[in-house]
Amino acid sequence: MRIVKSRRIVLYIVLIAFAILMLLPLWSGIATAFKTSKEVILTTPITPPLHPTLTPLIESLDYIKKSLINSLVLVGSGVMVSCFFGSILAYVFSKRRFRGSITLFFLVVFCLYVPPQVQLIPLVRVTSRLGLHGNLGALVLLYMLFGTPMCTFIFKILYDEVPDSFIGAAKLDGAGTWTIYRQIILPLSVIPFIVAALLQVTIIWNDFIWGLILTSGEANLPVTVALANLKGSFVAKWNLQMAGALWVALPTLIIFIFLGKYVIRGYAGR
Amino acid sequence: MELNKNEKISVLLIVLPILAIIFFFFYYCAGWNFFISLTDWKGFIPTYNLVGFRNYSSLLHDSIFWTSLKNNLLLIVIFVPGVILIGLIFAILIDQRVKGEGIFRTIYLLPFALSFVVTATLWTWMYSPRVGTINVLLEKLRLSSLKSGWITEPNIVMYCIITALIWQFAGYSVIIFLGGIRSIPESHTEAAKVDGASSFTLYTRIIIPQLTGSFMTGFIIFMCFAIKAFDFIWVLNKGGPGYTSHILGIAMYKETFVLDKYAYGAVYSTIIFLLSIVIIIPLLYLIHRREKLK
Amino acid sequence: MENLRRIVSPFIAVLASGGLFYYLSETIMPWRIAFAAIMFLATYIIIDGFLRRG
Repeated sequence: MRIVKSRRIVLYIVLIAFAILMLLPLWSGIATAFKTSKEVILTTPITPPLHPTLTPLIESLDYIKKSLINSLVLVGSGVMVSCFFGSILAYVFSKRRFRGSITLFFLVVFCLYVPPQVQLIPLVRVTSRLGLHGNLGALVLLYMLFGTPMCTFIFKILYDEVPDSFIGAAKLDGAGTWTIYRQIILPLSVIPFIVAALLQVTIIWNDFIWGLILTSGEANLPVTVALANLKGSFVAKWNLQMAGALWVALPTLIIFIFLGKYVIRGYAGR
Repeated sequence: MELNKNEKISVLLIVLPILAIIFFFFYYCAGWNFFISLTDWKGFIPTYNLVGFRNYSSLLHDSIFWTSLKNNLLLIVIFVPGVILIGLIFAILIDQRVKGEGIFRTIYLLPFALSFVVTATLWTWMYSPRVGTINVLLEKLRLSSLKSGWITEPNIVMYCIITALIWQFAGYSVIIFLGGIRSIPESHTEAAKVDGASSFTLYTRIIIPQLTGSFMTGFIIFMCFAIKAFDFIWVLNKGGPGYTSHILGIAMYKETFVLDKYAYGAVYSTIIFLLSIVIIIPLLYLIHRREKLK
Repeated sequence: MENLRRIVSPFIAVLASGGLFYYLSETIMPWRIAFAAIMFLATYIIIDGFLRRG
């Protein structure tokens, strides 16, 4: 019994040590974000701020506030439209199968594994041909489409569990494809919608490379690119950098802490 | 359920436009990218000439390419197994009916919530030679001899990057394996416990062999990342010092958007695409076959 | 519930698509209209479908 107990203690020590290790960079960042430049140099990076100040947070917010709204708009439009497209595709692939639909489904899923580098050069040209290059519109278009394969995948897993008889009954009443989708399938999709939407929110919010390449001018940047610029232009101002990082990190941290249950479903379901 | 002709038309009318746009953005672009790699396109000038595989042969004599490829292989050889191993170990530890399991899981997953730009900013601070967290902590612990320039040292910069990436992905890996362990039917493990198996044999003989699915999922996800990585290193140190931490994604970005050699950049991205196809298609095939067997 | 749905879903959809249209002031007009239209469609149909629950 005693051996078991000491083993339990070791187990908890290991788990807690790992947790501290995981939190260390985050804590160091948070602590530094609330310090004055002087205190940053005088104290160690992990001591909590003795005289907490909001100046770095306010200064960095000033630098990235337009981008925060940009990213918010990108997230909103990207999530709604890609979930919409994704659920339609998933519904057809799951409940309205036709010859070749399995192949098409595989082609959609394989899009998840296409590295973005392949699309960078073509899309610079495509977006400039469409008159979208350099402004937020290019990113709105991309995020509306690029989330669709993953949403299709998540919705299809759930739709496969809906028994066909559900739909058969409606079909006997003469309901068409579109009516069944709106009256039967969509009301069942609230949970997968939450899972897919949270996943898309984090992916779009955290995305960097598309904003870097397709937008130009301070006013059009998504928040990650704005943070990278802030990091580049205030090299030694650590408190300002950390404060900026904190603003960008906040929404996704909140999602993972309070809605982790759904997020985990999305990531484990892949 | 068979569809009749009218239904088929309406289904196709709904689905085909969406599919067409998506396939255009993924597959047509991949094809066009390959085509560009055979030209001498400069990006700003709209005209270009076909030059065949000349770009590919000059790639073979490009030392930056070999450095980048080597670093990508380093990610595949160290980052991927490392993150899988840590995920497996901590999934098993959490599985020991730990109190506050949810809290540990959430904490471990937190770094994965962050954008690579955020984590790169945090780790620049961690690794900063003079005032950074790691060096200051080492000094406080009277281990000054272990202090180092970290990401400014060409010899260890890649390992610093890999450590930070493992930190970021470890929680994700834990989630994958925990899901796998939890989906093993309890009857399997109960039988072994009745037979008096120690918990070590229980795991090595019974549980780990049944985690093939989790291993494959993890392998695909982390492998994909190891091939296409860009954001973290770019924000951390732009592939420096010199070219020592360049990976294919960084080299591609630099050639294309810094030096305006679009065609040459397209060669890099074609290589990235081929690498991911070579690694991912067999794995997807294996997963598909396993699911059929079930 | 039925009446509520008829009002709520178009209302939210108009708000969302109008907001998108308003915010994309630097984008050329055809795309602004196209984005707003597709945003309206997606929001309207999804919310309308969710409110049919129960």
